[in-house]
Amino acid sequence: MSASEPNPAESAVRAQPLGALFDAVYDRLKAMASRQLARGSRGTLDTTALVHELWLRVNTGRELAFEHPAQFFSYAARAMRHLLADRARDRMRQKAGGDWIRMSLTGSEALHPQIESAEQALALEEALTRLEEVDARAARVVELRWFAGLSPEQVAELLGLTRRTIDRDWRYARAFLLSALE
Amino acid sequence: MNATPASARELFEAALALAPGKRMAWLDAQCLDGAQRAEVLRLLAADADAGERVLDEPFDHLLGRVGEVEAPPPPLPHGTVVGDYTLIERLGEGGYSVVYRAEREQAGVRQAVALKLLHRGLHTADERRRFRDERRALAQLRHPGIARLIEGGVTDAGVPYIALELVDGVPITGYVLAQRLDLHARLRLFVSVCRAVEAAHRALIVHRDLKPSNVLVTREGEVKLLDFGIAKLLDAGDEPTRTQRQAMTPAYAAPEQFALGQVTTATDVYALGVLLGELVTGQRRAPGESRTPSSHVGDDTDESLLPAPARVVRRQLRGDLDNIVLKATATEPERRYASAGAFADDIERHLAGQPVQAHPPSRWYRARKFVARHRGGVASGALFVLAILSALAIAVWQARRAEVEARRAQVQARRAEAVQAFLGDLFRANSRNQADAAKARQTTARELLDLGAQRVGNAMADVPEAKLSVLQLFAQLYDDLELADEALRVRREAVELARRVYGAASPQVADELVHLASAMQSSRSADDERKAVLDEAGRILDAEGDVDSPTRGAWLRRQAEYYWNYDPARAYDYARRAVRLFDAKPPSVDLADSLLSAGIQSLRMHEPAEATAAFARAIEIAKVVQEAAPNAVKYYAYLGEAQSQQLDLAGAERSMRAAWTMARRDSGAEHVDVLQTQLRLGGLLCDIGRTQEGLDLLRGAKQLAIRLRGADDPFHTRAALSALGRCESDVGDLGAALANAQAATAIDRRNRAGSLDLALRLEREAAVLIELGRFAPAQAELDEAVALRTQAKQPRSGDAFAANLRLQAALALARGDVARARERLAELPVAADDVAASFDRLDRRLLGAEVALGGGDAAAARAEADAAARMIARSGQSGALEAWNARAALDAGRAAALAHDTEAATTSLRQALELRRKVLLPTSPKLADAMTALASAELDRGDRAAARTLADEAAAIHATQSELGAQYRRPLRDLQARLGAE
Repeated sequence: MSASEPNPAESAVRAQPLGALFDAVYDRLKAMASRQLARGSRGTLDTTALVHELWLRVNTGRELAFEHPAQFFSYAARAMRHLLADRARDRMRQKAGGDWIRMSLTGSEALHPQIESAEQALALEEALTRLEEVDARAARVVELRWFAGLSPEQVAELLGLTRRTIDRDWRYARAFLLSALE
Repeated sequence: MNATPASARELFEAALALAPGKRMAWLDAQCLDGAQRAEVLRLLAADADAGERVLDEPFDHLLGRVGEVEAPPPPLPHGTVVGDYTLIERLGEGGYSVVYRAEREQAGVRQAVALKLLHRGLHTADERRRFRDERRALAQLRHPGIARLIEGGVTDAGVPYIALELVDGVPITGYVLAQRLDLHARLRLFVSVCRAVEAAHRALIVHRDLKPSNVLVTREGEVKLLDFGIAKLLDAGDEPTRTQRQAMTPAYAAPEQFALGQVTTATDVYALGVLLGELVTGQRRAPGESRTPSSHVGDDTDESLLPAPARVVRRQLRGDLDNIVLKATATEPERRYASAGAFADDIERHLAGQPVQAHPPSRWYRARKFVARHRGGVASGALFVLAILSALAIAVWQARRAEVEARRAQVQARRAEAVQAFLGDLFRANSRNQADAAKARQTTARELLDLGAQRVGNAMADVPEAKLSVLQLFAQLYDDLELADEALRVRREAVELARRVYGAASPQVADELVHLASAMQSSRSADDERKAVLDEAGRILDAEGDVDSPTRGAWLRRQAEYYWNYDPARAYDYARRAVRLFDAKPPSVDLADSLLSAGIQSLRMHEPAEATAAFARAIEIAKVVQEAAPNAVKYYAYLGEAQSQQLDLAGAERSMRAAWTMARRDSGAEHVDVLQTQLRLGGLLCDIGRTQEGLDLLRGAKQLAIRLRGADDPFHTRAALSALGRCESDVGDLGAALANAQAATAIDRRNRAGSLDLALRLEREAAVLIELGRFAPAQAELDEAVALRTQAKQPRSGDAFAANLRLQAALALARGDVARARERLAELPVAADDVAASFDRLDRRLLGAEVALGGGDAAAARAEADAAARMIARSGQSGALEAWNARAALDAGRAAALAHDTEAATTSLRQALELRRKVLLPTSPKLADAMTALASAELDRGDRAAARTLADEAAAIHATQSELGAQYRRPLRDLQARLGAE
C-alpha cells in the first residue's frame, strides 16, 4: 500500500526550503489577518477567505512569482501554520510573565483556555513535524486541507492526486496527529 | 500477509478495511512486535474517536482561541515619569497591561496610586476619543466599595494609562479562609460586593471581568472592587457598534461572553453567581455547570475551604441557596437576576428567613419560548387540543388541592405558578412531539392558544385566582404573537376577574387595568374607553397612596401615550415623571422605554436636542440591560428622527439604517418593526432627494403594512399610507398621493376623532388638494385641523401650528389672494439670519419669497430666497437639500426676471430646473413649473426656440395630470399666449 501515483506537482509535495518568497507570503497573510481582526470580525478569522484573497491578489497583481498554484497554496498553508505556532509561543511567554494577583480559594487560578489552546497548538505543531518525517505527503495534505482551508477536491487537484488518495492521507494523518496529542 | 515488514500506516489501513469486530484477531495474526502493535492500536483508537477533536473543527477556531497576542512593552525603570506620576515598583502584569505602584506630589501631599499602562496604543483620533469618553464615565463612578479611577491619559508615545486608587487588600476568597468566616458572614460580605456592583450598574457601567482577584477585602473588612469597566476601556479602540473583543477570565465569564454576544448587567450577575458558589462551597463552579452547589460538597471535600463541616454546609445550601446560585448562573441572561441589586435582595431575604425569588427553572419561561419559536409555525392540532384540555383538567385539580391549604398569599402565588407550569410543560411536550405528528392536520400556535383561551373561560370558574394567572399567561402569549385584539379580549376578562377576586379597588385591579390600557393602545379600541380605564387605575393607585411602584410607573407611561394625541404638554409631563420614577431604580427596560416616551414628546414639542439626549441614553441602557436590547430598534429609529429634525441628515440616515437593519435581523422580513423602520428610512431618503430609493422603500412598507395589519389598521397602515402620500406629493405623483393621504385621514377619522394625529393627516391631505387645485376642500380641512389644534391647547404662535399656517398662506397664494397669504405669513415668526437650518425655517423663508413674488416685490423676494440659500449653504448639507436648493433658485430666478435682470434669471432658473430633474419624478408639475419659468426667461432673452421647446415639455407634463391647480396652469397659459403672440 505505498503511494505510487504519478505526481506532477512533486515540488509542492516535498517540504521546501523557505526563502524570501515564503517570508513575503507570511508577512502579507499576517497583515491581512490583523486587518480582518481590526475590521471587527468578532475576534475570529476566516483564514480560508484570507488565503483565497491573497491568491487572487497574487494572481492578478503579479507581485510575487510562483511557479505553480500549488507552490502558493503550500506557502500559504505553511504561513498559517507558522502564525498559529508563533501566537501560541507568545501566549506561553505571557503565561510565564504571571498575572498581577494570582490567588484564590483553590490555589492558583485554573489555566486560561487560551493557555490550554496554546499548549494544544504547540503539541500539534510538534506532531506535524514528526508526521513530516514519516509521511511527508500526508503532512502536506493536512497543511492544505486544515491550515489553508482548501476542500479535498482542491487539494487533490493541486497535488495531482485522486480524491480517494487525499481522503486516505487525511484519515491516516488525523489518526497519527490525534494519537500523538493524547 | 505481507512478505516485507509493513509500515504502521499500511497496517492501519488494512485493519480499517475490515469490520471493526475482526480487527483485533487480524492484528494478532500479524505477529507484530509490541511497540508496533501498540502504535497501530493507538491509530485505530484515534480514528474511532469522532468527538470534537482539534482537527475536526476549522483551523480558525483554534487560532482564535489562542488569541491575538501583542508583545508586551519592555518594563519601565524605576523613576520613569508618566503624566504626573513617578513609577516606584512593578506590581504585576496582566494580559493587557502592566501595573506599577506610582506616586505624585500635589500641594505637598504625596499620593500613591496603582498605575496601569495598557499594552495597546491608541493610534487614531477616534480611538483616543472613545478612550476619553469611557474614562470620563468611569471617573464619575464613586462608591466606597469601588476602587476609584483617579485619572487617565495618554503618554507622548501614545500609550494609554490609568491611575487607580491603590488598594491594600486580599482577594475575597482568600479573606474568608484567613478569617475563618462562617456561612452567614460570607453571605453578608457577598451582599456588600453585590451592592457595590449595583451602584456601578445604576451608572450603566458593567464590570465584565469580576473574579476574586478583582474583589478585594481590606484589613478593615471593607470590600473594594478593582478594575470596574476597565475591560471596556481596554476595548475603547474598537468600533462602538460591534460586540467588544473580550478581556475576560473564562472561569467567571458568562456564556454570552464566549459566544461574543451582548454584555449586560446580567453578565456581571453570572460572575457574581460563580463567585458566590465558590465562597459557599470552596470550589469554583465549572463553566456550564447545572448541578446544585450543595451536590458538589462531598464528604471528601477539603473542609478547610468550607464555612462549616461538609454535612452542615450541604444542609445549609440545599433549597434556597442552591436555587439562588442556579438562577444567577443560568445560561440565558434573561433568566438571571435582573441586576446585582436584585441578587443581593434575594440573599438578604434568605438571611432574614423570608421566601426567595429564585426557584427551579420556570416552565412558564419555556412556554413563552415555545410560542416565540412557533410564531408563524405550526404545531400538531390534535396533540395540542389534547394538551390544552388535559392541562386545564390537571390545573383545576391542582388548584383545588391547593385550596385545602392555608390561604396565604404566598400559597396562592405558588398555586398560580403550578397552573402556569402545567401549561408550560404541555407546550414543551408538544414541541418535542412535533416532528412525529401527522402533518395533515396541522394547526398554528395561534389556533392552539385560541382554544386554550376559550377553554379557560368555561373550565376554571371555581378557581378564580388560578384562572386569573392563566389569563395573564394567555394575554402575554397573544402579545408575543402580536395578536392585539385577542390580547385585548383576554385582558378585559382578566380585569373583570380581578375585580371579583380582589375587589374593585384593589392594587391587582389597578395593575390589570394598566395592562388593559396598553393592550387597547395596540388594538383598534377607541380612545375614550382607554381614558376611562386609565382614570380608574389612577384612582385606585391614588387611594392606595402608591407613588413609586412599577405599576404607577407603567400607568404614567400609558397616560403619556394617551395624552400625546390630545395634550402634548401634559403627555410630556407624564413621560418625564415616569423617567424620574424608574430612574430611582436600577436601570431597566422600563426606564429606557420611559426615556423613549419622553424623547418622543420632546420631538413633538420641537425640542430635538433634548430628544436626542433621551434616545441616546435609552440606547446606552439597551447596551447593558438585556431586556431592553430588543427595543433598541425603536431607540435608534427615533434617534434618527431627532437627528433629521436637527438637520443632521447623515446621522439620521445612519441611525435609521441601523434600526432597519436591526429590525430585519431580529424579527425577520414580516414584522411591524421592519415596517416602522423602513417607513422612517424611506421618508428620510425622500426628504433628502433620493426619490426613487425612498419611494421604493415606502411602497414596500405600505404593502407590508397591509399584509401584516390589513388596509384599515389605525396605526401601522395609517403611518405607511401617510408617509407614502407625503413623499408622492413632494415628488409629483399627485394622484397616488391623494389616494394615500385620503385613506390615512379616513383611518384617523374613524379611530382617533378629535386627535392631533387627525389634524396632521388633514394638513397633509390639504397639501395635496392645494396642488390639485381643489381649494375649497383644502381650506375646510385646514380649518378643521386648526380647530383640533386649538382644542388641544396648542398656541397659534407655537411651532406645532406653523405648518398649518404655512399651508394656509400657500393656499391663499394659489388662489391669488396675496393679501390673505401675507396675513397668514405675518403670523409666523421669521428666523434670524444666522439661525441653523431646518425644514420648517426653509419653508417659511421660501414661502415669504413666493408671497413677495405674488405681490410683485422683486427685491423682497430676492432677499428671502438668498437668505434661504445662505441657510442651506451654512448647514453644510447642500447635497441632501437639493430639493430646497431648487426651490430657492427658482424663487431667486423669478425675482430676477421680475427685476428684468434676464441673465441672472436664466442662470438661476437653469440651475433650478437641473436640480428638479434630479430629485423629482419626470411627470412632476413642479418640474413643469421650473420649465415654464425658464422658458419665460429664455423668451425675455430672445431665445424663442429654447422657450418653445421648454413650453412644449411643460405642456406634456401637464397633459399627464388629469387635475392640476390654477397656480400651475396659469403661468404656462400666459407663456403659451406670449409665444403665440410674438
